[in-house]
Amino acid sequence: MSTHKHWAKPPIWLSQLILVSGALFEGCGLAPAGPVVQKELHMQSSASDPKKPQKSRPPIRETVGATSAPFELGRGIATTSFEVHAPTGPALLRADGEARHVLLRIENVRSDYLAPPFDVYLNVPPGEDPRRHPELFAFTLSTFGLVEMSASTGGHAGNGLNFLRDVTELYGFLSAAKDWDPKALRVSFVTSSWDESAPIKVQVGRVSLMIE
Amino acid sequence: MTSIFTQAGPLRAGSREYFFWLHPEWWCKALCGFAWVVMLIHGWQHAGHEVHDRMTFSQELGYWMLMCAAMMLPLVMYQVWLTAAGSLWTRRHRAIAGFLAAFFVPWLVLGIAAVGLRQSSWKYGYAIPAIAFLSAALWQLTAAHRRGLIACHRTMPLAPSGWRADRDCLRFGGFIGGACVWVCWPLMLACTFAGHNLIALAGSMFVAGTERWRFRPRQVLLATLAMAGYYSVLYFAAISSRALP
Repeated sequence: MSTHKHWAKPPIWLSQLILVSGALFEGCGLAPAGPVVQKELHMQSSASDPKKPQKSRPPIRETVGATSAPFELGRGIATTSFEVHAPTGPALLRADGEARHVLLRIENVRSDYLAPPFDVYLNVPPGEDPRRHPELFAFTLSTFGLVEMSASTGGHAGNGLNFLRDVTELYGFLSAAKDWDPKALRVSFVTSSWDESAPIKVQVGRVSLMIE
Repeated sequence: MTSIFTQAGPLRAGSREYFFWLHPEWWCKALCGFAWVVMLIHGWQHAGHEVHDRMTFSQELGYWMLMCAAMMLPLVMYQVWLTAAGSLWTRRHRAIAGFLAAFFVPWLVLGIAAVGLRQSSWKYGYAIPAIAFLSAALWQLTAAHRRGLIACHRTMPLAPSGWRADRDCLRFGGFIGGACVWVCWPLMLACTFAGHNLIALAGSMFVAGTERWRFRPRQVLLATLAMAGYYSVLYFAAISSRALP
């Protein structure tokens, strides 16, 4: 599966540029910076102030959306979607003034049988084959150790595999699309080639979107 | 840009706010601390004669639940945090409340049975806690106990909103509470028959925490046997003092 992305990187550098230029304009009293941007600017400037050193605080993740029930992956394409809520907590603010990260979390992936890896795509148009949209490819969900992690023997609870991947770049790309719906996210899973006679029955506990 | 990248109202991220953001389970820890304070006061007031301390059914049940909160909440703090972190920000405290409500149900059921047993007059002696701690030590050797211990580390997917979210939090809390009861019921019964003695509570807490976080069967078994030995010594000391003229 090609992971090549044709699109430009999301404007993380641009956001930093805006923050810096905003600080300059703010000093001149020209730019009406938003409240959070002002806060970020304040924290940036105070962090660089040697007289007022600030403690480095790790960002806090905030869940902004998730599937409401477990679902199964089989042969072929499986798609799930969920509502994305606007962040109301720590995701609104990055203490260190950096751009936010968008994380996709896939939890409790379990199976009694060996399974192939799955390619994960975001917001593939309904009815279309995700493999025709390499620009929407997010990551490959590896199933190494899936059966072992699904069994509650061997000293662990059999919670299955959990994945957390940074999809900031892809999310930035998606948000620039014309038909972008900010309140919903579709996640598609595509199996790679696998023995036709072997069953594929993988249960996914939850897919969630987090901001930090 | 998207709603995710959109900034809403002003936010202040001072040290206090950041602490509460980072630890949404803070009030659960406060509840645990309060329970320990009450148990310490109770232990201080009845120091030396806890085993013989007679209380009404409701009093005994109240102290049972406080004992469970003091000893069991630290063991499930990660699950509480997980419940909060996996929920939408606006309903994180509601999710924790749902988890805890369901978590304490199995403990309440066991508590009613334990307090009912405790009301019998023959339970007010050192022999019963000694036998209970010995039983707890034997229970730790069983495969059923090991299975329960593994189940305590189970995680469950939570729906983000609506009635499904409440149901999932209740189900998660109930499952962890059931597994917790399955693992620790002999120890907690022993603590009740010991009259919520502070040494018994602290020792059992140590045993439960050690077997949960660092699985060292031999040390845990020895610690439980030590408590059984402690109450055996007290029992024989009480018998010998009665035998004296």
